[in-house]
Amino acid sequence: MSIESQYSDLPLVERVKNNPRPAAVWTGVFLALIALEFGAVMSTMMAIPFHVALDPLLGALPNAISAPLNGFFQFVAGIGRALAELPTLLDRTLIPNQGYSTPSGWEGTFLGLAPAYAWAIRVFVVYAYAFVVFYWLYRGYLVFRENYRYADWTPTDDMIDRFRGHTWGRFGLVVVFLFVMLALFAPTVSPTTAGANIDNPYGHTVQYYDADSGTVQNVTVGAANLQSKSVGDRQNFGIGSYDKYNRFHPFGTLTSGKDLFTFMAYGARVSLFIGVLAILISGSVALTLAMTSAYYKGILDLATVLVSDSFQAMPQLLVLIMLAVTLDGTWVAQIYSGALLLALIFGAWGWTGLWRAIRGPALQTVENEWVDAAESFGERADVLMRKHVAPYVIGYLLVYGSMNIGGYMLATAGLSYIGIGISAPTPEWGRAVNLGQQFIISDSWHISILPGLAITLVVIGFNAFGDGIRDAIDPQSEGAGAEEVGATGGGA
Amino acid sequence: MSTMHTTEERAEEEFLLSVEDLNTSFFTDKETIRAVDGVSFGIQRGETVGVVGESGSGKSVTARSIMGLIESPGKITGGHIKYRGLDAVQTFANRYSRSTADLTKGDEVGENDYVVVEERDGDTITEGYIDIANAPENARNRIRGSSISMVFQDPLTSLNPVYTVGNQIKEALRLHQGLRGREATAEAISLLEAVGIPDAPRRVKEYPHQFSGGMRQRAVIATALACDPELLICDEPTTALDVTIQAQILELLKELQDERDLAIMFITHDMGVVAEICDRVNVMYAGEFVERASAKELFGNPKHPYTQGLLSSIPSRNTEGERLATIEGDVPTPNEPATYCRFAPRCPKAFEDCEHVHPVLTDVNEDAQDHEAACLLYPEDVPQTEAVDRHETRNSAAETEVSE
Repeated sequence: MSIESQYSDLPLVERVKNNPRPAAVWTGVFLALIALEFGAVMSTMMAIPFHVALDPLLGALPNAISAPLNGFFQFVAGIGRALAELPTLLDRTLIPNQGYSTPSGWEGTFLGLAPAYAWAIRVFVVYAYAFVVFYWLYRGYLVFRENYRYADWTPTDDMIDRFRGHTWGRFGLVVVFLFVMLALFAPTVSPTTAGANIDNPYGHTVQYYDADSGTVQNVTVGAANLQSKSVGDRQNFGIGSYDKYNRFHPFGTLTSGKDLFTFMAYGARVSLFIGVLAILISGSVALTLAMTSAYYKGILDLATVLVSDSFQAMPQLLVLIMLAVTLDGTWVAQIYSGALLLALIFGAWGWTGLWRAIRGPALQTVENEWVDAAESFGERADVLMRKHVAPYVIGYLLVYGSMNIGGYMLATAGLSYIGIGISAPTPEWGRAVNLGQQFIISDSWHISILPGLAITLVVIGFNAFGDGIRDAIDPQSEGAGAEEVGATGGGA
Repeated sequence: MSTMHTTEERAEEEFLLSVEDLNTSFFTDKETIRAVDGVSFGIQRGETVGVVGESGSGKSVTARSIMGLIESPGKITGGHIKYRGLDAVQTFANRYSRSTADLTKGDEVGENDYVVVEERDGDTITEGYIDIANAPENARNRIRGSSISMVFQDPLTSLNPVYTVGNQIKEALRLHQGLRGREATAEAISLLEAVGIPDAPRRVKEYPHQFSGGMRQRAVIATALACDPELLICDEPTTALDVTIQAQILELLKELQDERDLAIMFITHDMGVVAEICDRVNVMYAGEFVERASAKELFGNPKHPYTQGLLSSIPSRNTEGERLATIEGDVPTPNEPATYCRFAPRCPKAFEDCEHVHPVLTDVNEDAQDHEAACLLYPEDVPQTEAVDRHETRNSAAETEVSE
């Protein structure tokens, strides 16, 4: 406390200079953590299909401009690829789980362990790393708060404290965190990769030990998959099983013989991509409209009401099906097997509900005298709304947004289930549910049930997270309120 | 008539702000409410002008009209708000030359002109005004804060609870004096010290809820002063405070006025506060000014029955142990042009003509210096019928002027 008052009017850099130790310790550890995974960060960046957006752009420009521009992009891409090649701690090759079993034991796996253990260790390391990074970021906030922050106390402190005491919200955060990490580290946590197992099975091979000849043989993944189909009581590879080629399937296999866990991990990426992009679009549209309509009121507000009502009056499902069908085969529908299209559609329709939800709070906040006061000393309209109204509305947006993300994922799964969402080969949980539904009362029940449970759990997680945020940002929910919600959450 | 006009103009040129026949109406589905109905007054530098009246009489709307803070469905429907701060006129004449009428170059004041240059010394403008009532929003925004600031009624709500007090003062400093970073913090601290907040370097980074009511109002005043205004509009700045703090805030405002030669427009319903701080007082009733006089004259010799009623309903002035006098009824909603006296239904001295003739501000008698009342009883030194006639003729004169 006393240290802080000395720094009353120094900029942050000066404050850090005066007391560098906590910041240095934190930054050092953080950089070390990042260095472990730097290559993976870069390869994730490189996985974004830049060319889809850039190619039409470059094609549209005259050659004189597009040629050097293209050269520049290639140069950047080259650097990106080189960096993406850097070895990383969580690279799957560091703890390989694919090997073959010889009479003397396992060959090719991590420390000669059984693939199941090798895989479990790798998943554990990934999540441990992710949790440490997450904790360290939180720790960074605490370091800032205790050592460098200008103010002794801010309202955010209370929000974080309230969230920390909110059991149901914490449960949601954990589920969301597990899900996001599953998506982020899909290539690492999967027992095999999407490239080898799903996209191009005949272009990859897998080694196995042929007991008859006593030699190690190669077989294409495609051929191996044919032998590992889960097709009901006749042939099934369920949870935690090995197939004939010593491949480990933590969640079993699909009807095509592909690995379900790999399918789900990559499917999580699609869901997350759609959910996050859709919520960014709808959230920013809703916020912008809420701010403008709350500031200008009157006719503009009315016009927004009309537009949003017209959007809501359209039967969303039919519009979705219509757009999915009419746009089929166009370039938009091809990006990420239609995921971008779905995200755009959800975004274009999603803002109506969000805007409705924050319109009231925005109109209410504008009435506060501090808004008049800021206006009376000549604050510009956009700064006024951003600084004095938006902070009060963003909380609501977070709550509804986190709940809507779950809704978008559910809708994506639903659409994929009826065959108009994400097309093959891009994995999507809803398609797995669809594939497995005819085997649901057979041994191969896992094909439908596991993705179905996962969808339910993730949606519940996002809703719980939203609940937690809502109670955290509402100062009146302090104490008893959070306890009650926690109790019901635990019971449910 | 023409000579009278020039003398009027002469007088008005001394005013920093002159409001002429201001009309502000609110257009609701049911009716049009004429919240401010033909109000005129002026404020000189270093002077405090009070506007008193009951709740709903249009005081705050007058203030907000001057600030340009009237929001839909409200609108300024007529009149002029002439601001004569020379710096502002000079910058405005440069910036908005298209909307500037230069009388020295023989321009006429056109419909869209809101900057008027009246006198030049060579190239420098020495006399002129900005008509806030006719200025567009972006021009108003430039005047707000830099030339005219406002202190709001409730210090609890006029500071944003999510930003530190210093942050909010610095916001104004950044806008109007271009100060940033450490410089701005230093200036914010010195402003907090100027409004009498102890331990300002620590206080500057505290949140509004850590301040007491009186300190918060001081902080609000500091924010208003951060813009270095020439005119300060105080909209009931002491209403939410207890009496001792009230006295301190009034004292502070007086000090600041002496230091900075501020013109202050002080809105209140508290007659005690008026007596304390105002040089001249306007009494407002149902959107109109019903009496205006110097504070001393008004308290010593109130003329309008409404003012008399207001003063006799102050407990401390009436210590005889009698029942406290009240004015029966409420302020009517002024939803039509007045063709009668709006106070008549509540007036103990009302007579028949009050129902038919709209009183206008008139000198209360021949020798009265700067004391006017809008009541058919005045001027009191002429016979009643003649007085009524005067009001009637001035009314119809005003009407023909409008219809022109």
